[in-house]
Amino acid sequence: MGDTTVELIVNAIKIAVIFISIVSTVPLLVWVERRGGAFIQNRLGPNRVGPLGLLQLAADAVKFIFKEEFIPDRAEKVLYFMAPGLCLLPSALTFAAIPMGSPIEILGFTIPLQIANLDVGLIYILGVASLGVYGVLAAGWSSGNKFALMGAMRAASQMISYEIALGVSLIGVLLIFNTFDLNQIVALQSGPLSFGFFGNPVVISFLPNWGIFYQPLAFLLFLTAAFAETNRLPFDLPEGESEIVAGFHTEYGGFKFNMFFMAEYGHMITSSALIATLFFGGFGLPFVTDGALREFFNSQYQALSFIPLAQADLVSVLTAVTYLLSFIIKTGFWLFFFIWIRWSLPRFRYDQLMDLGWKTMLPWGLVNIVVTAIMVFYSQYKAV
Amino acid sequence: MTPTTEDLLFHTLAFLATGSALLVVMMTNPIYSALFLALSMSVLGLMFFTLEAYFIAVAQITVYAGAVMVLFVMVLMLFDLHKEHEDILRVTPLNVSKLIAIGALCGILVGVGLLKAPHKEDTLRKTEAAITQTLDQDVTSDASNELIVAETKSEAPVEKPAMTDEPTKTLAKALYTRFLFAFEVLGLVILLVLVGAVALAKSKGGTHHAAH
Repeated sequence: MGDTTVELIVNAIKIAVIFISIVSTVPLLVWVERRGGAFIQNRLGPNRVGPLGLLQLAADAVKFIFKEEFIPDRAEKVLYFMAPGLCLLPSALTFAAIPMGSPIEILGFTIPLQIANLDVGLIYILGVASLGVYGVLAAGWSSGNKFALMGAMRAASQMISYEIALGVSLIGVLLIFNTFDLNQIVALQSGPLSFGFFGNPVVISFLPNWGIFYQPLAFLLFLTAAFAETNRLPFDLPEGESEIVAGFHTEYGGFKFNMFFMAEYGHMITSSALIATLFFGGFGLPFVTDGALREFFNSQYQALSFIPLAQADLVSVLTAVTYLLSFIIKTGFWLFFFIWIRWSLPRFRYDQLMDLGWKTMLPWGLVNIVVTAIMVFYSQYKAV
Repeated sequence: MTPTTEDLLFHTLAFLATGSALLVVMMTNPIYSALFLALSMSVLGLMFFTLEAYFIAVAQITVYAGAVMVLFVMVLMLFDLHKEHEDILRVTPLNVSKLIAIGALCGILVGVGLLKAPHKEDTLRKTEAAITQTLDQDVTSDASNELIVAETKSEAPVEKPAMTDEPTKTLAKALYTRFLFAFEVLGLVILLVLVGAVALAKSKGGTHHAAH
């Protein structure tokens, strides 16, 4: 947590800020989902409350808070209360390891823009994401309702199957970047596309050095598996209305239902952030290396010298803010992509879903590993 | 002595781990038992983090808490708990013989443990005597040499690799070169278990087997 008191306070503030920003991004996301989905489906969406329906979410939140909190008769009380929190825990924990910018060095302190800089960031995220099944199972079983239990079983088996596809697709990425540390993965994706090919360096200057150009198949597999992990359409069966009422959160109302929503959108945010970090350069800017950006800000110092900070401090703050904006834009685009797909594709049937996970994605993931390993070994094809 | 952060962390995690392990056997509802077991395994993983064994910590959380216990909990949720509770406590010849078998197994384990203890002490004393003999007298007679070689050959010490900056890479290199055979054999064993489980489930007709 930090040795000195100042570090402790800064870390506590950072945790609070990041958690609250995740929780308050959710209403914005829901607004984008409802208005964006309406636009895709050629209808209007909520437009009565506030300009463009922006206050609809505030109204919904107020409604959720004032609704009656009930417990079904045959429910297991302890697990029924804990399940929404159990759902929210893994999505918050996974977001802790994702870097959102370079560290800010100000007044002698170094403030990294992520909660936990883990050496094993990538598999930590995989490990904690696999804990998300407990919340779903607890919710379904403790409701005392057969439909909820069936929805929970289907959700759990779907999530377990696609965790495997998720992990296998990430092994290819690991082979290319040679490290678990997400900060280093982002640092390796700077500048134009350059790699070694049979010992000769090759530079393709019109493409950025992003992970998607090294691992396109892994990107597709990871994207699909991320959709399945967050229970989003087209893998929406566990909570599919018209299939099994509302699946594992049938018996939940009021604020607990809101927490399930927040957990699902939190998972979405984490998955988008991961896609941006692993395959699209993370918080970096395309074609611009870290050194080049800092030089640019150093040269502009004269114009900005009215800000009362030392030059090194100011440059560090400006680069961190630029990186943060870049990260937000990339994550925002992938969040919009999640919402876009949801309103465009129909739902998978359960056996089609399991077939896809085990018989299509797992073999293709293994093929990806073999081909990547051969390329890395024989042609020294790795991100320079 | 002021408590450091490591002290605080260790004691909190230790309390959590032992407490949840105790609750596994104290809970009446088996699903709560399984969930507490999952909690205790996750907390063990966290303790590995404090010991700077990052890869093992994450592997513990991913494999044990995230895969094994999830499947346990899933299967447990499909049972009718009241019926299973009654079935276990009913006095039938099968249940009584199960109890006798468990008692016999415990007795065998305790007996073997007690029986082996003097033998181990003997070996230890002989090894100590041989080593002090050679150190004090610096005698290289065949008898004492043979004794040392015979005693220490059975427990050849494994050299510990030095702590490096990249523990995960060192672990991976050792796993895929020195221990490759054991790794592959373990994979085959797990595959056997998988095939056996599927075969068992199919032969008994799955969960719709009309037992009652």
